Amino acid sequence: MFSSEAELVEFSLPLLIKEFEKEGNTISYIEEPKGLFGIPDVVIFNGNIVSIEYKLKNWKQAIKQAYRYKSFSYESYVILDMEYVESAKKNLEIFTKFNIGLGAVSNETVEFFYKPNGKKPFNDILSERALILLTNN
Amino acid sequence: MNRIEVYHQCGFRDVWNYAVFEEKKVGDGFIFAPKMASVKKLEQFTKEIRTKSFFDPQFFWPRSKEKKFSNFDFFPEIISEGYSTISYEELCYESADRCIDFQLNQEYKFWVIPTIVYDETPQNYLEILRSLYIEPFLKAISEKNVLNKKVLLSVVIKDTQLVDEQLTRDILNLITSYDDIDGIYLIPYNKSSIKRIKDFNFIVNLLKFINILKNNDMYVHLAYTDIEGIIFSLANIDSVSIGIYENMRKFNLQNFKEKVEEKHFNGPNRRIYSNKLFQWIDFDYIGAIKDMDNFLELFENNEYVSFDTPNEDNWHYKFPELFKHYLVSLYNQYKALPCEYNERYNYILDKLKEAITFNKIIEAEGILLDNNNNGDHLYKWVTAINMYNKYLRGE
Repeated sequence: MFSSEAELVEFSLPLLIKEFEKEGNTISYIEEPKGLFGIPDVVIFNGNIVSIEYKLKNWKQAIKQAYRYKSFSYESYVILDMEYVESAKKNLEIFTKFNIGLGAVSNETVEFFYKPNGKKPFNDILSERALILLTNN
Repeated sequence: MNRIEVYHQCGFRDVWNYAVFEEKKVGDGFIFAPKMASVKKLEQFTKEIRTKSFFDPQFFWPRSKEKKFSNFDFFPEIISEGYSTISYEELCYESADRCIDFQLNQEYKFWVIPTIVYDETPQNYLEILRSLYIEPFLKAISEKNVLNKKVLLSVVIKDTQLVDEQLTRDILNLITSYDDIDGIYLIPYNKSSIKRIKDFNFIVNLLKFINILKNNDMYVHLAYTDIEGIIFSLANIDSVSIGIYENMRKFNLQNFKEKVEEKHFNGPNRRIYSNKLFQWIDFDYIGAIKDMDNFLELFENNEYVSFDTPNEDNWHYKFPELFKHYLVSLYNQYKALPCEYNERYNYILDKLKEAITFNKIIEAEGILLDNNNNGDHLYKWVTAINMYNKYLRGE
């Protein structure tokens, strides 16, 4: 159980980076980039853009935010505190319907309950901007 | 019921309001105000325009040091060289006289009596209204001996006031106690930061408030309003405002205070109005919905419809299309409203249900809009108008 979203991010980010690493690709990431559609907590580049919205437990808010990131991301995820993930897991069909990933973090690990199908971002201009932000970081 | 007249609530870039008025015959007149222009600019409008329009003196924050008010010698802060209730007591009749002279000289359609708004409304609010604003203005108007011009009293009604039955009754008693007041320039003040009003109690209470005014033969103009004006049309409002920027579509007292420091302002997101969804849709979602079969159906196909507005700094100062599209689209919605109550009620109900269906189609396509773009408000609006309908039937 984490006391804040910041603690959740700090603990889990190395695990997430490892999770999204792909062979042969250099991974890079930025935290809370501005100028996109919403402000994702983390944007990772592993050959594709992957966006992450962290929340301790409010998955309903998080999934709407994560959907915005699909405008510039190939994949978008909601990551919750494992302690509070049950409610989201019971509504996994909503994550499936909107093609948003769901994961959760415990004190030891990050676990994924739904991995979305990678899809071309729906806004080319924002996607290019995200790539520039990642490159300039 | 009345065929609703639509007035442009003028503010920054109101040249776009004039453009659709002149070129597309959109709007029945204008609401001029100190914050939009200097006296000199206001005097330059043709008589034809001025006589179709009226003037909102914007005394809402009478101690405001906002520069634009300094052009108007009747503004409380200016005339009293530093406003306080006590200093203004001595000058309120002079202020009223000058303000009414200005409205008379400009030959505006209505007289408008201004009002004051507080962050925290004091106990003696109604007494202040009566003694510093209503009575001085009514005296000034009576001295001009002008017949056949309606007198509208500005009333800012807060969400918190509408739930206070005693206060609402006191306000209504005050308004209806003056034979010389013919109507209300009514300004809803809902402090919620979300884009659409989702508080159905606020909607129902305001509908009832307007209904009582109408039952007292009052003219009601609904000012500083957005798409919600369609819902409030059910209470038989006589006229309504349409505006370009959000500060003309939603009242906020902070907009009338002097700016303490220049805040960094990013400007609004690009949004396009959907008359079918009763919602503004953020441009960044367009890529997600544009492949839907009925995408184009969602937006009125008037000549300003555009999905090309560039995402540049200050786009909202340079590219009028999205705003003009909204003005034309909403104006057409008002003008299409039936003039018989039951027909209007059923018409609006059908349109709201249609909007709910469109939102379900969007969701079924796997598109998830956030709370400022989706149709959450539509369920609240349907509930609100059904509650109001039952109230009218005495159920």
